Amino acid sequence: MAYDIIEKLKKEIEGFKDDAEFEKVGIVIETSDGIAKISGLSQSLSQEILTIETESGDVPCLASNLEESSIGAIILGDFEKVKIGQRVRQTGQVLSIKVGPEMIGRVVNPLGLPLDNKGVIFDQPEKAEDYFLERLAPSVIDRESVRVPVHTGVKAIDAMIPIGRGQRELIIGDRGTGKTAIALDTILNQGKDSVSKPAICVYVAIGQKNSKVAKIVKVLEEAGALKYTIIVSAPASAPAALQYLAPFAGCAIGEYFMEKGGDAIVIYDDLSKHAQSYRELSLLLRRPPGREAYPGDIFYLHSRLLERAAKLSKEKGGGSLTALPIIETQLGDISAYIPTNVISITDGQIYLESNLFYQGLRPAVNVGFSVSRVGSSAQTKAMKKVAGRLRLELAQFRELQAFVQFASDLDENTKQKIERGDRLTELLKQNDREPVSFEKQVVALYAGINGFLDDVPKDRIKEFEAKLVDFLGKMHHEKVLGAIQKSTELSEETEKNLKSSLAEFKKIF
Amino acid sequence: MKYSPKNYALALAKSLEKAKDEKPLISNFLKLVKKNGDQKSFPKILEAFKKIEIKKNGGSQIKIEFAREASEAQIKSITKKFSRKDWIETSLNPSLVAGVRITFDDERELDGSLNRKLHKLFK
Repeated sequence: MAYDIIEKLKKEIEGFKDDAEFEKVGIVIETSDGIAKISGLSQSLSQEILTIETESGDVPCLASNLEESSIGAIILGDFEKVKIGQRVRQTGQVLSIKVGPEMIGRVVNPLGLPLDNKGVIFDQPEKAEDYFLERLAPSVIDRESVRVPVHTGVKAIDAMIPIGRGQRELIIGDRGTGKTAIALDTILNQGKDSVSKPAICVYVAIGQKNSKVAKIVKVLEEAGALKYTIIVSAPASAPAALQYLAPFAGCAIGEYFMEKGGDAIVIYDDLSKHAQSYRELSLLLRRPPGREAYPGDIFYLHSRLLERAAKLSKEKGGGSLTALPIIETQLGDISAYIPTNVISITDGQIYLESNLFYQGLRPAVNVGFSVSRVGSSAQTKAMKKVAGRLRLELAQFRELQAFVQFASDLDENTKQKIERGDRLTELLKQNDREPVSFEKQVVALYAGINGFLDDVPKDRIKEFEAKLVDFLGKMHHEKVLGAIQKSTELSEETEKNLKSSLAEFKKIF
Repeated sequence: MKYSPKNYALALAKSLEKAKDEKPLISNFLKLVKKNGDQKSFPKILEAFKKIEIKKNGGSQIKIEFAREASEAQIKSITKKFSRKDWIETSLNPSLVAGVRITFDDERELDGSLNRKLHKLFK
């Protein structure tokens, strides 16, 4: 080994040219809080990596502001080493990340460096592909419409706010309402989903506590979900530059799997903190502040990121990249600047409400405010059949609920509707980290909307559901659950079998 | 309003162009800088003014750094290679270890120092 190293060094020394050549050079003229102002290097590219030669090695930085006589650069390394007067050189490389299947199961930072003490990611780095962090989104021609579902395993979402592969669905709500829990359930369910091929999940933690990221890694590891998950972490302790780059790195990793013909889901947790880190950088770069001191291109920042989510056409391999951005609201105010921006960019939102959360409705999805603009075309036929009626029943229930508080005398029909609505709401409750597979969701919801729960006490609904699924799995797997899973439809025959087995189950429950 | 060093330098250069007698103009300029409380940025103003003047004359700002104290003859042999229009500054920089580094207009450099060679070798 030592011999190899010496031989290699010898060769390098022998082939070393020591002729002084003219080189382009820049000089640091100002530095503060992770930002450097550099004079010279007038030929530098936007988003180019520059290196600052410090006393203790080179520090990379990202050319961001190309001005008339200077460059505003974001320092990506240890900014305390950077001093005025140090020399800066161009690398000719635009910011990129090394990606490959070896990344699966790893925790990396936005520059692709491992954070999990599991050693180097790539045994042969030359075989890994370089993906630019900033890339153009696939064009219209390269895309096709969303038609394959992403099953989250959450009954309320899969039934009423369905998500398709290639869609951008926002998860929005106050702190502590279960936004990350839904994202985690989605990741966990990918390993269990039998309907379509499993998707690679990329969880991007932006400005999160390190303890939270560690907890998420542990949950995923214990559930065996790390086998298909990559975590990109820029915690609260990371500089704003890394927090700003994290979602772009996550997206680049997702794009790699999409372009290889696979499916990927990227979760950006959360874009509110991302916007704040971008605001910090922009103000330090002296870009003019706009509303709430955010820079003028804050909309473009998020739109260009989310626009990279796509379902590619068959000619392009047919892969997909689904984006699940998360936004944290303050006191449920979804009309603030960043929430409205991201709502308008995405193809729908899942709105979580703290009131519902405290009432015990978990997941606390507000079905009235939540929408999915493209997902319904990706929903399986079986789910469509039950979901249509479920939505209607719940809408009627919400309307009638208001009357209950005023009128005590209600006619039988209204009473029945309220009773059923109550039961359906109870049926949609679900513990976190317990995603339900799609065929089990279909049978449970079928039982709910067809009145099989009407005489079951409200506090026994959960038990009813668990026992029903167990019963069907053991006694009628092939005819009911297996048939739905295989065909993704609820054919007349399967429906008949389901009805008879439900009646059978009711007798023993 | 706060004036930038570049603005001061530009204003001075422009007014010197027309002036017949430079002395009162320069003394007025110094008074103005003092009145505005910008004495601290005087070195920056001077640097900016130097750049403007060199550019106007069609020359370059050349900084020659020696690793060790250079002899008169050595300095002369290097400086005579440049034109009269160029502004040449020499300085001592022990961090170069050995050799000379020449920087043109803070944009391009010809680095013949040992420090750079070692840096390239071990990169």
